[in-house]
Amino acid sequence: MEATKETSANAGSAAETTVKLRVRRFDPAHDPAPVMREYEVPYTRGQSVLSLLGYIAEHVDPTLAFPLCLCRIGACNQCAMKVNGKSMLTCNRIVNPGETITVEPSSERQFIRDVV
Amino acid sequence: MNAIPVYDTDVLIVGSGGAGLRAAIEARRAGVDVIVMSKGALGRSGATITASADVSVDSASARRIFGFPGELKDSPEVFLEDVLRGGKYLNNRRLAQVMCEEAPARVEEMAQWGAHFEHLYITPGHTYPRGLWIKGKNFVNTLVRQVRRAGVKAMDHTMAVDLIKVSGRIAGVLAMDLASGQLVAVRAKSVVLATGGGMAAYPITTAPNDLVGDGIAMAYRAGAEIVDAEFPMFLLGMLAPPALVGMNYPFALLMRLSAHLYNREGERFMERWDPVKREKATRDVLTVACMNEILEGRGGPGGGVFLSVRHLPEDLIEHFGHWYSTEWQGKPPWHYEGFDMKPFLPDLSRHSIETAPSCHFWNGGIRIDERTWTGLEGLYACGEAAGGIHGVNRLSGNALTDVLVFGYRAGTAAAEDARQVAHGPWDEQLVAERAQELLALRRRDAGPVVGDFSEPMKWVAERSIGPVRDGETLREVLEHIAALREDVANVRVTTPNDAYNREWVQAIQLGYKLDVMEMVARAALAREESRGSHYRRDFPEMSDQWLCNGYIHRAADGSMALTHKPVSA
Repeated sequence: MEATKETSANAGSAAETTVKLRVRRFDPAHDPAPVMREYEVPYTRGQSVLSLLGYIAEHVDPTLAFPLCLCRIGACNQCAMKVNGKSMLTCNRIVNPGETITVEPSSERQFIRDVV
Repeated sequence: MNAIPVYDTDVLIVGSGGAGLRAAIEARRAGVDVIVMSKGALGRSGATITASADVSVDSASARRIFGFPGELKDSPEVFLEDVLRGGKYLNNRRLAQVMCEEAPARVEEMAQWGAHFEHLYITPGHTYPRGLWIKGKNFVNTLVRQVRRAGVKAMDHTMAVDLIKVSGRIAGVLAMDLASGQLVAVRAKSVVLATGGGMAAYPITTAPNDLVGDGIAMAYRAGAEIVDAEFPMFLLGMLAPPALVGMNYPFALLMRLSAHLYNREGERFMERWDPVKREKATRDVLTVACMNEILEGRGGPGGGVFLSVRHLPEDLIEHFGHWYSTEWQGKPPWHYEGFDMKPFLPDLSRHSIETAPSCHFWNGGIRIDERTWTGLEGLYACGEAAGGIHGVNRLSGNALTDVLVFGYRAGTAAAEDARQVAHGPWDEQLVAERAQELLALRRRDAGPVVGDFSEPMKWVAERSIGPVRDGETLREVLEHIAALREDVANVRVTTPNDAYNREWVQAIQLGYKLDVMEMVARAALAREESRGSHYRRDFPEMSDQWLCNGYIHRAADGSMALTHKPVSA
């Protein structure tokens, strides 16, 4: 997989703490192979992996596909993804400052696009 | 453009929360073909999955059916009196009565299907213990099992976009298959809207983010009436940290710990609203007081007021989670649904957190009669999408009861209707035109993008359609909504992919959100009194003159019209 990198326009100076999120991007209808895209976004205490995906879609890259129907309280299980290789819910996976996080779809069987 | 595939069914149910699933079971039992369409996975979208909560039934029936220590003095009649008092007497009395009378049969049937009601407890507003506690997942999974067993067809991950009305009758819906981006049509003899409320039109909400008011907006556009639009219900929710935004649970728990609320001046402002109870005042007083501080410029940088338990010893705070863990059903201390709150404890005990009204429930909605008929041929509605049952304030536990009772009724009525009629005329041309309008969003080279609307919509939602309102601001808000409508008409989608085009979906949803926001604003502006969660700063008293319901409909010129009628008996 080749990697591309995008930095949030809102990310501040290098001194400000950030989080790196590497997200697997893949549309089987168009792309020859999956690509890991890296986003660097500002860190805030108590962010979840899901809230980071929301931040990216709203402020950095609206083309990112992740589920639309989400309860955000760990009940519906629709936000399950592979985080650093392990399947888990992303709404309650809290992010640590300076962390690099890899996000991939939880299941290849029902895969649609990106992390859906 | 490719032709739009058309699927046929007898009954189409839109939404797969509790109401949609219950309707599907009943319609299928009546022997007709049923499709349930939902934006997410079957039973996993909608609000019901999040409702690990109480289902209300009169206490005597709870005792008779389950052997719980219920009060024999209670009855559906006493239950009804509480529902009407809680709703400040704006409820449609007949609908409320149906809910109270049919609750026992519906919960008994749920138990026969394997639902596990764990205990009975009393909640505010109920004279007797009526809350049958159940896990949201157990409630939904019980219904999903019956839906599958009955042979209902599921159209998952498919978003209904528009109702198709031909010769005055609802003939089906135009929808989008999210996985492929293909527009599809479902032709049905009757349609049930079970799409939930419009809470997610507000940036701060306790509800799942799919509840954008789409069904209410679609019904309105097709000609149905919308009742009691001014009465969304608010609880206080968290504004930080990001993972917890909107949630009421940590707030509710901290309030039991005698949390203090401060404004930016460090004042415990609740002393002005209720000098005795202060932060223990009822929820409606708390939400109004907090919103008032925020609107008068005494809020924090995050747009809320400050909640703090800093005055308590840290070890007491930590123990507190143990003492109150039982009510969250055997989960470890400081757990809520899938969340472990413990990592947040150091922050919660040493710092304040900002809190603000979080939109929790849609009391109003599509007007229905006791058969759940909307007044439009072929269209039924149930659950939170329908209005009139709860008046201005829904009592705890009555959302799940509503879902079972009116889901059952909607399934019955829609099947009856479908058995009596053949498919009505279908208008291929109309469907193709609507589809072209949707596809046009993806072809534009210029125009605003979805992200451009976040801030202005947030401004509208917070400014005057929250729990605190005033005439002047509402007029200003309505002008903003009108301007936003013009911009939304030119919205452009930048995502090129057909598969799961989130941006396209959100662009379409902007219109529904604006519809429901305008409904709230118009109804709130007209109601020159304060009642329940509708607090007018310029009309702070409740007035008998306003014992009437507002009905919104689309006027012939396309504008939103509002009329008032006395409360239905």
